[in-house]
Amino acid sequence: MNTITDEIEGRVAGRGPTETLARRLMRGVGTHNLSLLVALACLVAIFGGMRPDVFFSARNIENIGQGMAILGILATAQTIVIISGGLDISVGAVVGLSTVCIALGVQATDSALVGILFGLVIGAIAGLVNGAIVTIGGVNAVIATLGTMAAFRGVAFIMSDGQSISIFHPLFRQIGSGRILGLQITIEILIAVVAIFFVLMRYTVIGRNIYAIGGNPLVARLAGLNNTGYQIGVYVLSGVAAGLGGLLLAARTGSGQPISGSDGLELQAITAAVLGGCALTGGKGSIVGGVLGVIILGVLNNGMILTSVPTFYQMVARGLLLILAVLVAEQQAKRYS
Amino acid sequence: MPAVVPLSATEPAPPLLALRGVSKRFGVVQALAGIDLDIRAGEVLALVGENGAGKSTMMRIVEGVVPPDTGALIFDGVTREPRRAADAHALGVRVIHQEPDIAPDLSVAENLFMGDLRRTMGLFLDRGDLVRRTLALFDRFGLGGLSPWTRGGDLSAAQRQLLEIMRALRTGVRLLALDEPTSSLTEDETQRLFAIVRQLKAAGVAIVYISHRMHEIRELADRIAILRDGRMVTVQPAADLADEVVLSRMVGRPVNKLFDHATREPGPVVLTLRGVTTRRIRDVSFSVRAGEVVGMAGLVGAGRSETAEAIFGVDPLVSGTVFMDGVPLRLRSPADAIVAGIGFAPEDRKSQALLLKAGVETNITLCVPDLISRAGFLRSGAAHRIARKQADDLRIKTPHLDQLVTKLSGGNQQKVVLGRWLARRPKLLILDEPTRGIDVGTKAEIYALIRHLADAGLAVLIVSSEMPELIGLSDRIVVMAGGRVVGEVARADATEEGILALAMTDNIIPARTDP
Repeated sequence: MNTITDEIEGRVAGRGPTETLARRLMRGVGTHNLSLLVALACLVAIFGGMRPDVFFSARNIENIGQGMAILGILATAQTIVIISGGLDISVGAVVGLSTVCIALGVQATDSALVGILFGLVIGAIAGLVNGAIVTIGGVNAVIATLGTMAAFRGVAFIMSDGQSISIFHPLFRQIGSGRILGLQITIEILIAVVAIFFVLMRYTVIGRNIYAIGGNPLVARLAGLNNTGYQIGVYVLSGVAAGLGGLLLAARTGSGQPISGSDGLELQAITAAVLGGCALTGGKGSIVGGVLGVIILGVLNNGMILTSVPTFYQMVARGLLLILAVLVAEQQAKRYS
Repeated sequence: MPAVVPLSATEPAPPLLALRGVSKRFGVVQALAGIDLDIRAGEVLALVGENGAGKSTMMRIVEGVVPPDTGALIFDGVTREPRRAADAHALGVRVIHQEPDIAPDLSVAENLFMGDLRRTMGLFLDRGDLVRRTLALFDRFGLGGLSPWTRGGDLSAAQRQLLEIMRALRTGVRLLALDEPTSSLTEDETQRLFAIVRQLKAAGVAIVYISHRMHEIRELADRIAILRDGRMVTVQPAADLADEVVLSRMVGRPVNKLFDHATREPGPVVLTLRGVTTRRIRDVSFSVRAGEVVGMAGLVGAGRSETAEAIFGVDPLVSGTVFMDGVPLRLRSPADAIVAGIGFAPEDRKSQALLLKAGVETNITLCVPDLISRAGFLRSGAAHRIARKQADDLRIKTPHLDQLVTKLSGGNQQKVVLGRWLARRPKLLILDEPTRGIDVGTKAEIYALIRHLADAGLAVLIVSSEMPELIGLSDRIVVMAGGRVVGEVARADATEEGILALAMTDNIIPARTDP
């Protein structure tokens, strides 16, 4: 009996051609990341070709890096949220709320540490609220975080009385423009966060379980995973990341502003994650892809400024890029199935 | 339906649809190779073959969804090239799929006459006309008891299928293909479906009946067409083909006995249910011993899967207790059941068991985080070893362990699910419809595997709607009806008729009014 089934299934399994080295290599890097690198190279060629003197200058490259710091943190956190099967639209508002809380904390206590802690804790609480509404309340993630986005923004205005609050503590200027070992601190923070997220998603049981829950929550539950706990945890992580984004923003601007973070940060974060290969249905995506998505957005933003594309047109371009990213992803999914 | 002249039984009918040299290739897979087949009016043609033999592709070509690479479809003597389903429908060709698309928020009548809803005053839905036409259709096929205004979403699987068939009848069907229509039907519903099939056959409709179930084919088919590897290996009158011949031609070799009936001495009691009650089952008590295979029989909705879910912590207990090795369990979620040594392979592999975006290794090692990590960090070597061991032990056919599970055959997917639990060394394995959608050859292998696991001391609880499978595998069969246990049958005394009679207890005895 076994020989019969052997033959039948051996035939099924043997249908694919044996893998060549090139194919294995492709699989290692990931075809999606490869195409992102190609897209990035194209962007660099275009903008570099238009403004070769400025674009490739060390200063501009650092500008790109600095411009990406906040987005990079938000986008990689968003990548994790999307992989878990969720979505967090409230991140921009949490960034604004966090800057206000940091500024208020510093103002009240004159301690940078208290201010920073306050900002991060507020981010965590915001994430906890999101997570609870989505998991325990069973509200669709888009609607839940759309609602909390407005609510968090409102709280930021209430707390600050609608005013910008200046931060005079020197540590913030240090974080905003200082350097350690020649590299800007903001970029170093970005690298550290990305590295942690990368390890979390790639090399830990937690990361693997997040993929599982996003891939199919019912399967995950029947495999004994605590879906609710993981999902709330992921939103808290996103909230803390937004709190950290708020710290970087407060450090750069030297103030806490309720309006800050409202310039489409959540849109860009989601765009970068989707560009990076996240499936909005969950269970698929990678931190490396998310980072590549952020770099593409960063280069695009920088290039459009260098080539004097008017601001309003830049907004149109960013919006279309999100649609384009989803379109491409849909086509790939179709071809795949 | 157009008027059809009944044909006399003596002269062979001319083919309504003839396939001539139809071939289709998908990438490297030759799905169909030079298929010649006559489908005659007023005849039931059973189409059999293992999964992947090309049955579905053939139906998709007949339905016009997929164009053949070469070959012709000759309908009523005229060569046709249906390019989409609407073309085939215009010719009176309909394929009824296993899961028909029904608009959940429209009524039965609206679903039935979708695209042909008449209006009053050019605007409003003519409900009177709709009901009249719907009831007329119901009458013709003896489908009383279903309200025209039932929501589509409230229909059972059987009712959806009947609705889909009636849709076909409404527009005048001349060739009706049914793709494993009974896989989610109860015995009673199956018999009703058969009555309709016979009625259509008598009215001169050509029927193509795809099934894995031999006794259904025996009951309905005039001729049997056997597909293997995309080739038509046999087309003969059903009376000329013995069951063993059909099976052996499907797999290409003689099929050995599916079940081995050696008796065994079971070990100590592993699982005990005492008075288990949930929203959907009531006062269920039985036990399973180590080394024993216990089957659960019953009609669809009798509470078998619901009992399995209660044991596994999916459905909260209202009262009663589940014991493992004599220790009462506190079941708040599946995690509690898993810790207690229970594994569960649910009914629907794709939506309940497998991570479709992940590979074989990830799927196998999903429930053994402790074995594949140190301080929370994954050790890829350990994961690989565990997956390799299960893949070897269970003879999972996969080119490599990173292969996406969607690329595996149904049987190998089921083995991946089994491997996931066996990697945990469970004490009890619950299998809900373990061979659904799995072809005959692999079925036999899964049966042997289950037997082997029981011999090694595992307690096994099986839910199955396939009676021969249940009787062949189980040492003991617990019969359920209406959410209760209505009887227990030892293998020696088990017959399909006896179990069915028990399973229908609830329909015979008037509902009891317990407090």
